[in-house]
Amino acid sequence: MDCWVSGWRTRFEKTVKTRRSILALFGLFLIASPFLFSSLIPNPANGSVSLRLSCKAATEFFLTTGVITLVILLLGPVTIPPLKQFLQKTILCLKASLPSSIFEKVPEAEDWPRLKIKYTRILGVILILASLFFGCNASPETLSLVTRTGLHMILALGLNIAVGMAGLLVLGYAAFYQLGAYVMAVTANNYPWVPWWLLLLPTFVIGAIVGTLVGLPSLKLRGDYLAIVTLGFGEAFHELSRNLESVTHADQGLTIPAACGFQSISFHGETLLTQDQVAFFCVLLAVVVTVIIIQRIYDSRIGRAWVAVREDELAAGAMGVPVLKMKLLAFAISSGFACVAGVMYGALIGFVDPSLCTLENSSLYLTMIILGGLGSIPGALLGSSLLTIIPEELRNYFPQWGDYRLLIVGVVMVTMMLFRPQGMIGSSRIRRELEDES
Amino acid sequence: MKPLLSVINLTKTFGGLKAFQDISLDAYPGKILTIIGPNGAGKTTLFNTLTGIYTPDSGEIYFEGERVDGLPTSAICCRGMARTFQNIRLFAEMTALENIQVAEFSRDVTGWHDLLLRTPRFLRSEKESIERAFHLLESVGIVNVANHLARNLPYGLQRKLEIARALATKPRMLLLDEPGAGMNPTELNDLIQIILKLREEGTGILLIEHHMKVVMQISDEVVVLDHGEELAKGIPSEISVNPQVISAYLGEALTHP
Amino acid sequence: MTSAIIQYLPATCAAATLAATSTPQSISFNWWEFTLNGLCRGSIYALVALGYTMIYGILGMINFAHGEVLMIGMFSTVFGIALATSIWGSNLALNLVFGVIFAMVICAGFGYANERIAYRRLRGAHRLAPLTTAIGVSIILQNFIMLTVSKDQVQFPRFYNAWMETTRYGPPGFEITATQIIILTSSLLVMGVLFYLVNCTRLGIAMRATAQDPMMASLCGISVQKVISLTFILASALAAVAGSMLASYQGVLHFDNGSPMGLKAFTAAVLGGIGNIPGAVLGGFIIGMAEDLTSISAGSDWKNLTIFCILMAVLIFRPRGLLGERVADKV
Repeated sequence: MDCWVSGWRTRFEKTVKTRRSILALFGLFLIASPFLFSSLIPNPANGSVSLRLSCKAATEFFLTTGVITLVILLLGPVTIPPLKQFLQKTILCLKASLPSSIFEKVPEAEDWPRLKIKYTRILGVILILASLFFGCNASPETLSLVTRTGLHMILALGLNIAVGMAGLLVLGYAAFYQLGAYVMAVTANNYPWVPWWLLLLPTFVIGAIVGTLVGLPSLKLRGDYLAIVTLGFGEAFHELSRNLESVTHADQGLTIPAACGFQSISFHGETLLTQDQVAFFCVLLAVVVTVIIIQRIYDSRIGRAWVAVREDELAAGAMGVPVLKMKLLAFAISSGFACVAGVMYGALIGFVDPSLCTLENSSLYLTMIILGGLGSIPGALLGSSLLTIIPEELRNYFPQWGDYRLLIVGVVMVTMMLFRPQGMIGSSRIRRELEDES
Repeated sequence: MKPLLSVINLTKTFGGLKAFQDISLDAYPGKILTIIGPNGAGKTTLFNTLTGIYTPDSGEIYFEGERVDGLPTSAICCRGMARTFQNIRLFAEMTALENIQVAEFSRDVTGWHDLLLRTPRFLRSEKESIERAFHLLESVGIVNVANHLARNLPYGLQRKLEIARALATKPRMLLLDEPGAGMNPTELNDLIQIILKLREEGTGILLIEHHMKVVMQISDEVVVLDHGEELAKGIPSEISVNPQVISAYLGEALTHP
Repeated sequence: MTSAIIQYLPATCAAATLAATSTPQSISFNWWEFTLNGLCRGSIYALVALGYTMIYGILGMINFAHGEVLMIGMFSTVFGIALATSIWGSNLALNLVFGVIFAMVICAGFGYANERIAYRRLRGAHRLAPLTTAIGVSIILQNFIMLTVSKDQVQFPRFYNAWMETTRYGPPGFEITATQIIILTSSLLVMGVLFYLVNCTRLGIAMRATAQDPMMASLCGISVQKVISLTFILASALAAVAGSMLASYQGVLHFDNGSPMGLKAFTAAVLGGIGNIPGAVLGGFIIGMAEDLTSISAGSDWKNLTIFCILMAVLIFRPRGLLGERVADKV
């Protein structure tokens, strides 16, 4: 009898809640209707403006968003779980095949039998060979797309450190990307004998220093302020790069002499590897190195300290974790990686202008890690590849949807945060939490 | 014997509200000093000030002869003063083992190159950190839940984990804020055993507690706070018959064993 | 010592950059005009900063979507005027008033929907969640307007502009246009109503109580949820008024106009003291003046850098803001 009553009550509550949500959505629709269903007609004669009812805007808007939503919904359930498993297995294979893991156990594989570990290592080697094969035989357009995806992967991994691992909110991340690119461009124009790879480490340090300076005042106070400070830094840097004409040539941008970028490798007059291929392999190497570095930092006391600070700053401090230093470290490393990606961007594209550092780009990078999973390395890789490759392909096949790109980014951000905040993959800690609950 | 922790005329106000005023006390290694008093007397605020969460408005705090008021919490913890919290503040999404490993942060001596290159030194250090954590979990008796998430643990075990976590920082002075709150008699006994063992080992203990039986049983010295001011200070037997303390806090004369 | 130097470094670098690169122009500008312009711009920023500070005071959350609410207010005003013109004919002052009220209703609705759909679910979640959702919402709103109204600039009905700009009062050299009168008086009126509401009514007490200690407020019988919704509605209505002012002041509207607001208005709120309502007003006026000063002396290309420098300076030298912050310490 009790069960029946409580069941009825929960059903009733559910209906009320659903009814209220529907009402809320209907209310939202009502408010949005002036914009959807009418358009402005200016009257130049007497300087006034009048309204005309038209369904054009509404039909176009709903049609396009509806189609895109349908595509995502249909593709999503099909691709996501297998994709996630595929990616996790890939990462595992790669980890297992690294030389260092011959001496130590791969943590996830501690309870695997020896044979399975051996096969995983072989698979890892095969994967590496496969990517080498891909690099040597893919078309230049595909190569260029994948190389750019690789750069975005480094960006996403870097941002993941500050946002996902340490729990800071960083909004002006594109500024550091641009900073690295400008450092590369300015050096290349003034000291053309410096090859791009020599700049990687110094630019990382520059990025870390700038990040520390920007983060220090706000992190000392309230972590929420960091979002606005980095936003302000992004806007200020954008303005600075447009205004310092002598250094950055403002909107015209700086061209980088080809000699400083990626060079094709030739031997006795025969081209072994074209420029695009060299770029691809360098970026691939950079991504792998970044993943290794970040994974190792995360699996140490520093990673544990970041998680502790993210969970409960006060308790972490009381247990001897230097909270401010850890936050600054996360932000500095983050900025460093963005600058490194910026250097490679300069070497790849050969041209740098202020258009890199916009709020849209910063939000895009944030969406990448939210989509993939905050705090999760495979998640960052997945999110960045999805959000680089899919818009690019869409732009090729449906150029008329170009305007909807940002809208989709925003919708993805909001839906992910509301319905699946741990992202598509979710970090192992969150995964552990879900497993423990069952 | 020189006091481990020395507090001189400490005052803290919030806006116009005085949390505590002119508090002085000395805590010695291997001795248990208990602070009692009605709710709102300023006990937890005192703890927060001692551990660096608040900066005192006036007065001095000396730990092992050096001034520590105004230092950040992590610095005070590194000097050897650790604490637990009144409302348990464990890292909920980390396992019990990881909770303790976090507290061992300042004791790690490996450098960046060790970390990045995964040298044998680093691997050894990680192994030892896990062993030390297991050892601590054993000492409070919760080693069988080492790999459970902190938020899934029952309340009594969470309290013990908090103590173990504080112990991981190898403190010379341990501040326990109502460790016995919400515990049944068996758990209370366990807790008393743990605290007595710590006292034997020479750790100084500063305790806030409401369970009078526990207080009278294990304290070496008792300080009574009321409305932010020190009402009485002395050994348990004196305090329990002090008329002011009785009227403010204890109720009618407590017949102590 | 080192940390002190590191703290002051960004501000000094930025100030030095500004000084080194700004070209001295003839400093014979009209102080009166400058003050008026600064005050008008400042009152717009003050209204938006009020919204930011109220929401931060109650929820502890920076509502990044608030700038977009201003932008929607701008467009709603024009739509409102257009609607009124279509219904009962053109070019009455009534149309303008109708437009503003229409904008207030629409924006209040958006603000309420925002809170209800996006932020309410995330109340207990980690701090990052509502912040990132707010960014997502601001992107959605911006692009929604871009897609449904226009990608390019939209003109504010020129009839009003013409009338308001050309009507001037006062002795020559100390003239004030009708636009400026309307902006200043209406913003003072709106702020006055807000102050009355917050300080003298039971509703205001409920709002302040919830801002300081939500749990205690709910134990006293205040419906925290209703207070939060009301705060969002009020903040959005203020943003709508600011939007209509900005639209008439600028004469053109663009879907991009909302995003710079985030930085400027929040800096204004922090400058005055976050959570502090008079502080937001003061901060708004200061930022407005500072922006106009930069436009005159160094050129309008340096505005964002100046605002960033002000923000850093506040955080370094006076983090509690000029009038002190009013957010409960959470320990």
